[in-house]
Amino acid sequence: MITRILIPVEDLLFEEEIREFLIQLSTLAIKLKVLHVIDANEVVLKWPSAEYQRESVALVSTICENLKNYFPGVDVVSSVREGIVKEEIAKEAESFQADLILMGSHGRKGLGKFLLGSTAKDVIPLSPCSVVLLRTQKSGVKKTKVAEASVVQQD
Amino acid sequence: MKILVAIDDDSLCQTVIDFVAKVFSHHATIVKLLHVVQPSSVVDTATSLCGHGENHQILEERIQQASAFLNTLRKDLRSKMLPSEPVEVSVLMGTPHRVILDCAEEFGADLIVIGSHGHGELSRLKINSVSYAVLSHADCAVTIVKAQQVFQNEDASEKLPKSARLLA
Repeated sequence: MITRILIPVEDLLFEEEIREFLIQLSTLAIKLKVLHVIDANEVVLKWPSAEYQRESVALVSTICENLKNYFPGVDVVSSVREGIVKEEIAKEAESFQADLILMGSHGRKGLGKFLLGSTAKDVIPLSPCSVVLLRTQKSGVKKTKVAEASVVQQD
Repeated sequence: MKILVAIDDDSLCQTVIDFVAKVFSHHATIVKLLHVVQPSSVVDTATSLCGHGENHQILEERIQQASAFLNTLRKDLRSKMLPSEPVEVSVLMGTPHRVILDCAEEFGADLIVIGSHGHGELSRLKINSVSYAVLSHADCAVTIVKAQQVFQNEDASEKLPKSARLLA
């Protein structure tokens, strides 16, 4: 049986964690769908819709390509929706017949690292399937920061 | 990968076990099954007043029942996973979400798996307060398993022993 996994993304923040989670799966007989939802409210406030749309498509295709390169042979598709984020994620999960939603615990807004994002929290009750919430790996983040700092010092 | 599976005493636990077996059966997986017995002073005092035994006796019984229950689940999980994968069992006492979080930290869990407590259409919209607290405060990834999993086996869940809490 193919496991269908829906991956809602807001940015590239959780890319590494998503990859590491997928490595742990017992099978690579999986079908992935990368989804970005354009927040209906945010469009009005910040961006011209066309520009936002372009950015969103670029984001999902970047993540898609990276996943395809990392997991050759795995079926990866992408989708961009517009609307209320939690509802669109749930709708997409239903139409994709997802077995699993895989998402980061928070997006760009809020106190991020310490709090659970409201979208993540709201998706759970609406979701037709199980939900995996990923956390950023504290040690991993520290390591890359240290490495960058040392390079700067050498320069 | 270290997976801590928090088991509550309802029918969803079979779904949780099947989820872990199906998704994470992997040569490098270490699973720990955890059940938390919460001492409920009101219920226990009431029961002891009714002459059904002492407080500690009831708790001990509940712990024993939970251990037996977890061992059944452990056998079930082992039969579905690779033979090399260790499955640990642990019954602890205290406030469920705190115990789960402490245990995850001590165990060095990469993932906590917990049920959402959804039965039927109406409560599909709810999330259990323990799951929510764990989700909010965990340092590692958390999986909320929903009852509507495709690989749910309803027959199996009916055969499972009834909950320790109900029996107590």
